[in-house]
Amino acid sequence: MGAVFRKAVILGAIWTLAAALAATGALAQYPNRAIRLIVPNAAGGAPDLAARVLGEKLAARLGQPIVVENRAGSNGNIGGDLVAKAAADGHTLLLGADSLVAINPHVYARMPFDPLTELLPIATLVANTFFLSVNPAVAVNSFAEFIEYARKADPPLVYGSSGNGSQHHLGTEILKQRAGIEMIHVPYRGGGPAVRAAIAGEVQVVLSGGSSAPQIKAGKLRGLATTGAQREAAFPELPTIAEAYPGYELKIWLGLLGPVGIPEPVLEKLRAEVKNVLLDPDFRAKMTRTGALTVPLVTTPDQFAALIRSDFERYGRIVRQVGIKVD
Amino acid sequence: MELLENLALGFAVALTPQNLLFCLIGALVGTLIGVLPGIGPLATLAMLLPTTFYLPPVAALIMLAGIYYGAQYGGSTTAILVNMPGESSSVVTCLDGYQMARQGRAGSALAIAALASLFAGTVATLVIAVASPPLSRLALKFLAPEYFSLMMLGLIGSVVLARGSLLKAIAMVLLGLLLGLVGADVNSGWERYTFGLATLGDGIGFVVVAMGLFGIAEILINLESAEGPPASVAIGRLMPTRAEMKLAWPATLRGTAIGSVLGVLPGGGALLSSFAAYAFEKRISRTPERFGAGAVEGVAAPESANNAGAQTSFIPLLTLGIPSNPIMALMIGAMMIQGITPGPQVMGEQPALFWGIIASMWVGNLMLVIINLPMIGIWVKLLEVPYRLLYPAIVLLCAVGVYSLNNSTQEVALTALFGALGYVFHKLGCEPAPLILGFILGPLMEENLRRALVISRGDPLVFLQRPISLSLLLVAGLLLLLVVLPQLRKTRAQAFREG
Amino acid sequence: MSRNGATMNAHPRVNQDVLAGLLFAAFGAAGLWFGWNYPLGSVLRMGPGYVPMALSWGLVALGGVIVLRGIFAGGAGLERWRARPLALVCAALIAFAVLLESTGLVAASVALVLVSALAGPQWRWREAAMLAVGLAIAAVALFVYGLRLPMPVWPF
Repeated sequence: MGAVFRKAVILGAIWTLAAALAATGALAQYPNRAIRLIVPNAAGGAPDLAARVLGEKLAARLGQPIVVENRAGSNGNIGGDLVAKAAADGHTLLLGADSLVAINPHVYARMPFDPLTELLPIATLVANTFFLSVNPAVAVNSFAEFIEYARKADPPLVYGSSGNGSQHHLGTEILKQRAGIEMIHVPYRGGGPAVRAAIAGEVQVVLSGGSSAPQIKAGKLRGLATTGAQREAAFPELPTIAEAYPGYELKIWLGLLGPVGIPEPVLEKLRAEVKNVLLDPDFRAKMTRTGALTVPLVTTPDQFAALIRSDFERYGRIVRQVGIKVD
Repeated sequence: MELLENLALGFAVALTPQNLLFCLIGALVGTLIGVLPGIGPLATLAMLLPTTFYLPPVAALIMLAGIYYGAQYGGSTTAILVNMPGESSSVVTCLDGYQMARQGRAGSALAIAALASLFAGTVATLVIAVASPPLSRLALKFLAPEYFSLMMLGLIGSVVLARGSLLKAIAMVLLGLLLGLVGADVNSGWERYTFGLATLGDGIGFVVVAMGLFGIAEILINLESAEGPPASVAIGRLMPTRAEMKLAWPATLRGTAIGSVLGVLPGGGALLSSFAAYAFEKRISRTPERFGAGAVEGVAAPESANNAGAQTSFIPLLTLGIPSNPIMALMIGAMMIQGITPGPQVMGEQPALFWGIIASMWVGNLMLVIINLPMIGIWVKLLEVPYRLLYPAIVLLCAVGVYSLNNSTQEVALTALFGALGYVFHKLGCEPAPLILGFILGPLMEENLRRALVISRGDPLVFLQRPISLSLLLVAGLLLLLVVLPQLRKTRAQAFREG
Repeated sequence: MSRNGATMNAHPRVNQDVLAGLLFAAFGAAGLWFGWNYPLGSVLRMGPGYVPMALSWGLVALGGVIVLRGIFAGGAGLERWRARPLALVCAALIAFAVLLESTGLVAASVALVLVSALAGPQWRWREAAMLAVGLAIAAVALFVYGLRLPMPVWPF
């Protein structure tokens, strides 16, 4: 028995030593094994595509494979929770959308974790602005005409969104408030079905991402405005909503986040390499293709934190005013 | 003769050695993941996406499409051999395919599934080539009221699926509808029946329910008999008999037609098609009692419908740039990363790509049959493995497969629960197929009912004023009469006899 | 079902129909109980509770009818139930679920195969152990290296 016990002790000591070495090694040489990149959405969506493209580029720069893992559910809460509770060594990261940090805390009565304090913003990745468009049967040709038409419409116009509490929903509600118009909300299961409904005429109005650009180019939808701070180069004829309602800006961003407590050197390395990927023309080309209005978004850590704060407050206000709650 | 020119262009693209190779790779990978229960094409497509960045666009899309329909193909193999619906679309194939296997006709069932799929794939490819624009216009005519009426028709049709008691079948449908409502409600965002479990927030997974009620429950039933089940069934001929072919042929034709039309409808169309084709066959059959006991038509019809639907669900993507399911969304992503914007203009601007993909669909279907027919012998041999060694392997495949869907261990545990429930249902003489259909239809039906009423501002007449919706409801009413009347007559006859 | 070798009216008062009806009614009651607070809305403006409530009431009612029919018209008698395979196969899946993310695919597969093999009629230690090891290796080769599914292989 003694011999067995001694063996166990020695084995245990070797293990501890190895683990300790691995831990310090992680600091000295990050990354030393594959990185899990958690996407809190189903495969095939915009965040997933971004993760596949980013993962491939980042893996080449960091010299370790990046395994993209989809953990969908509760608008990102499930995947976010997993990363928030993971080891803070930089080997488990989250590719999340703004809604997880800026909308879910307002909407969910019970959050499994606090995204603002339990997730560490590492870097912004891409941002995309939206189109406001109508079914071509609606007799308006410009954004100004649309607002007039919507104000007089009786019964009110119906708009589609990619879901309750989505940016598409909240963005339209903000527009309704600013313009003082009434429209009825019809949520769909995602942006694709909402765009289809607008093309088919089931709803008249839709606020949608860059993937609807071909529909607008082909005349299946009539584009009225974009939601960025400036006009889009690809659609110079479309005004921004901000031209009529200054300060209106709707932008979805995707960011890289991690558990709180990632060592500073690891963070620095990650941020530097992510920035290199964002500046890579091939990355830019691939992302821009996935949505006409999608562009890499390079920010400093301070800017990223400020972006989260301002989005959190803005969406919070509208959620309270519209009264959206998930129990 | 523009069509011939277009097809010639398409085949010139699809038949280059490189594209043939990628088509073959896609078909092989797809068959593999289809055979593995639970491992869906979605996870695999997502994983392979980065490797396609370095392929030419056509080759990349041909490979990804090959995986998609290869998986549809492979799914039926597992359904027939071990009653495990490898893909959601092969649930219906379990009903008669597995019974055929138990009777030693696994070879026939597999061959019929393969040939019916090839035929359906061929026709559906032609349908895409010829009728894409009108079909996509039809799809756009389907708004919330039409969807609701279609679901209503499906629901009434689901009762036809049942073999035993009508009342119990209706109760199973209701239960399926209720289970389908678990999760966040689309219209209000309210989370229903989630018990605070994060996994349930997006509803119970279809594969979880189907694998539990069919696959795991079947294992539990088989383990009851001390000698273990029919490992020793005499394995008959590998190819279908002439009589079987004669039965399968018309069923394949009808299944193909149903699948081609329903596949175009986004949101469950393709899934519904195999159920619809099966229910239709059973309804028009002179010997409906054979269904569920190894009827050849019960394999040929859903398999052809399912494959035709899988093919024509490309139509909304190719003509409108709108995905009809998550897999199509991923295909769109793949196209866009390659610099192709799917949408109304693809056919005109990039004819080589458009027609190349269409031609490759047919080539891929042919390849699948060439790959799969010789493998039937191997698959059937699998049934000779003693069951005590086979079933732990099936349980393991099932566990890994369910986990891979959402990387959720809670879903694996949930599968056990549905397995147990399936066993109880079996013991109480309740059949799972109506429940599964209710489960698919439930959320769609409620969502579209409420949406239609919101948009019409609470006017219930909207379901009757729109011609497509009205005709669907009329057919549903007719079907209801056909189902209920004989039943009533039977009870009355019984009552008189007893009285 | 043809494989259901049950006889008609073996136990007139407790038969398949009575139990099935009770099960449906129980599901309906659970639906009512847990969904009681969901906003109902009205017929033309349904809230999230409307359809679940309607279905739950429907299940309770239909379950009741099936019970009554079972009592008065009789139904197929009950077969013998076997708890052992049921408990062990479910336990095997749950063991896999519990072990996978903490101890990895190898340990979880071995546990699943051993426990589920126990459920069978002809349980042999050596054979089950060999099967477990073989299937665990195959699972790692196929899923982790072949299909590159993201899951841990070992506990460390």
